[in-house]
Amino acid sequence: MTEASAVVETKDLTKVYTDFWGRPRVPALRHLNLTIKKGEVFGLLGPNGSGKTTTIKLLLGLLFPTSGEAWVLGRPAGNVATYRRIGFLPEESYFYRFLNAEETLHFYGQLFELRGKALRKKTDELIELVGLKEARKRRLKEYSKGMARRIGLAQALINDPEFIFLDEPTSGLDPIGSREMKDLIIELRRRGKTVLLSSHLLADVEDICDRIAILHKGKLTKIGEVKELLTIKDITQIEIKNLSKNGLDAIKAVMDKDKGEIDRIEHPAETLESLFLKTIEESNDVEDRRRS
Amino acid sequence: MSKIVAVAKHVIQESLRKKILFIIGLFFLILIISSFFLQAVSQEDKIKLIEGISFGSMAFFGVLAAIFLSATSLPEEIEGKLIQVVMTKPVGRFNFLLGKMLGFISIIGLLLLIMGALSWGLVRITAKGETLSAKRSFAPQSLTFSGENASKIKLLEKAARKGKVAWLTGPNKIKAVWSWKGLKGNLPQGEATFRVTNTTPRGGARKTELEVRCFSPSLKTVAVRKITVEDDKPVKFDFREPGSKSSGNSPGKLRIEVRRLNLDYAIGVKKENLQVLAPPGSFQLNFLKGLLILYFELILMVAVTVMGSTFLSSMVTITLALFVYLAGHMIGFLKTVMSTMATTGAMATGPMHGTMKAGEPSRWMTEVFKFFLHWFTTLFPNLSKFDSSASFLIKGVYIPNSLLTNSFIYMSIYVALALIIAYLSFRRKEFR
Repeated sequence: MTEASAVVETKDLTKVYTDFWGRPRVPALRHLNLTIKKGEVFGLLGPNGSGKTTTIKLLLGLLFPTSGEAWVLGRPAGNVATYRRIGFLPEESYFYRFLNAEETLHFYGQLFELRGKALRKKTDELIELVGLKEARKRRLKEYSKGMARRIGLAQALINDPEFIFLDEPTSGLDPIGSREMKDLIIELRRRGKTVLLSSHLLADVEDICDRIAILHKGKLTKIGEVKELLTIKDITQIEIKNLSKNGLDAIKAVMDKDKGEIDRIEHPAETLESLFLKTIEESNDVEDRRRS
Repeated sequence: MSKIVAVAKHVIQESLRKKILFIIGLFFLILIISSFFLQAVSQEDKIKLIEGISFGSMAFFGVLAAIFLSATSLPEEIEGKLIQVVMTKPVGRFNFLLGKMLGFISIIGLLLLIMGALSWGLVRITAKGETLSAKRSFAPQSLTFSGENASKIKLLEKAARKGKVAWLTGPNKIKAVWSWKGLKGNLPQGEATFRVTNTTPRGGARKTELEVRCFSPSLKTVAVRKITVEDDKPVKFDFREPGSKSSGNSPGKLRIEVRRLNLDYAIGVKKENLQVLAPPGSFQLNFLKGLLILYFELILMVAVTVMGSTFLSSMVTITLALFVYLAGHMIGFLKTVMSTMATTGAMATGPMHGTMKAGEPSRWMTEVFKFFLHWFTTLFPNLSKFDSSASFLIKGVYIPNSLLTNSFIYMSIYVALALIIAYLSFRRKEFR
C-alpha cells in the first residue's frame, strides 16, 4: 500500500475458478492492476461474465485470489477490521425473508455493535432515505424486486461507510427508482465517499462515474476518466450561432475572419455505448489475430 | 462479544419463525398427553411409564429439532447467497460460527425446558400430591468370595477383578461377599441383579432362592433375608428386621454375603450387581439432572451438525447427523462386539462354521473390519454415555454427580473439536 489517498489497489490480481478436484477451469480475472482514489465514483463495466463481480468479491474477501494482491483501505482484502468502513450492495437482493425491513436493519446494525437509541435512530433514518416507511413492518418475502433493492441499499449504508461497493445498483429498479439511486450516488460523492459500482447499463455509468474501467473476458481493456475516454481527439467541432450564408461560405473557405461568434469549440463526444462496443470488438479482434 | 450475541439472537429469531419447532412441540404434546391415559398396574408404575415416555420423546424430538434446525440454516444462507452480506460485516468467520452454534444451543435449550416442564407437570399430576423421591445409590468397594474350595475362589476373584461375571456353580457352599466402607446414615435398602442359570439337565425356570446376610455396625442385629431372584431382574430387599431400629448415623463398614440355597442353580455375580440405596434425595433435582444430561447430548449433536453444514448441503448434513446419532448409540454395542472378538478369538481363526477353510482372506477381512471398527468407535461420539440418566430416573435412583460432570466434559470435548473442524473448513470458504 502506497498512497494514503488510494482506497483500492490491486497488483496482478488473478482469479481462476477451479472444479471439485482443484483443477483450473475458468480464468475469471487476469492480472488486474487497478487503483481507485479516495472520493471518486468508479465504474466497472463489461459484458456478463467479464469479471466485474469477481473483482468486487475479491476486494470484499468473499473470494480469495489465485495469485496477485489486493488492498482495500490500506489493508489486505478480506480483513475483518476493513468491514467496519465499507458497505456492500450485492448483485441481487439476498435477504432473510422471515425478517421485516426494520428487523433486517437491526440485525445488520448489531453486527456493527450499534444498539439502543442509536440503532433505532439509524434504522429510521435509512428507512426514510430509501423510501420504505410504509413497508417497514412487512416481511421481506412480500417485497417486490425494487423494494428489496432499496432495503439492500439501506443495509449497505448502516455503518455510514466511507467506501461503498454497489454491484449493479440500478438492476430491477424502474426509471424513477433508477434516477433516485443515481442521485443518491451523487450525494454520496458530495459527502466525500468513495463508490465502486459495476454495471452494464451504460447510461447510468456515463451520468455518474468519474472514472471507469472496462473489463472483457477477465482482462482490463480500458481505464480512465469518463470525459477523456469519450472524447474524439482528432476531430474539432465548432458550434456557431446566427451564422450568415456568407459567413458559412467564408468558413467553408478558410474559417478565419468571419463575423459569426464562436459559441464553443470542442471535440465531439462518443456515446459511452459506442465506446463500449468498440472496445469489446477491438479486444475480440486482438484475440482473433493472436489465435490465427 | 455483542456481535456473537447478535448472530445467536438472529438464529433464535429464525428458528422461531420456522414451523418445524411448533410441529415438533405439537407431536410431543400429543404423545405425552396420550401416555397419561395409559393403564398401569400401580401408580408407581404409571409414573415410571410417564417418565419413560416423556424422556424418550424429549430425546427423540429434541434431536430431530437440533438436527433439522442446525443442518438447514447455514446451507440455506450459502445457497441463497445471504451469507455474502453477513460476511462483509465485521463479525469474523469464527465468531459467526460460534454465534450460530450458541443460537441453536439456546433454542434447543428453550425447547427442552418447555418439554421438561410439561413432563414434570404431568408426573406431578399423576403422583396426586404424593411426595416423589430419588434414592442415592452406592456401588460397593469390593467383591470377594469365601468358602472351602480355595482354588475355585481364586478363579472367581480373578474374574471379579477383571469385571467379568463370576459364576457360583457346582455343589459347593462358596459365598459372594460385597463390602462398602464409610457409608453414612440410614441405609434402608439394597438392590441386587444376578444372572441365574439352571444347571440340571431338566432345565426349568431361571429363578432361584438366595440367602442374604447383612452385617453393619449401624444395624443392631445381623439381618438375614431370603430373596427370590430371576435372571437379570433387579430385586430389592430390606436390611432391617421388621420392628428393629437402626442406630442411625454411625458411619461404618457394610458387608453383604450372598449364598445359594438351591445348588441346582448357578448364579453369576459382578461387583456392580449389588447397590445400596440410601435415603431419599430430591426428585426435582434428579429430574433436572436427567434433563441436563439430555441437553448435553443435544448440544453435542448441534455442534456436529453445524460442523457438517459448513461444507455439506442441508440434505447431506441431515443424513450425516442422523448417522452420527444412530451410530453413536450403537458404539456401546460395537465395543462389546470388539471385546468379544478379542476374547473369543473366533473371528481371528476364520469363520466358526467352517464353510471356508480357516484361511487368509477371512483373516485379512477380519483385520480390516477390526481396524475400521476401532477407528469408528474411537472417533465417533459414544452417545450411549448419555443414555443411562433416563434409566436412573425411571428407577428412581439418584443420578450420580460424576455422571453429570463426565457427560459435560465428554460433550465439551466434542463441541470444541467440532468447532475447530467447522472453522477450518469455513475459514477459507469462497462465496461465489
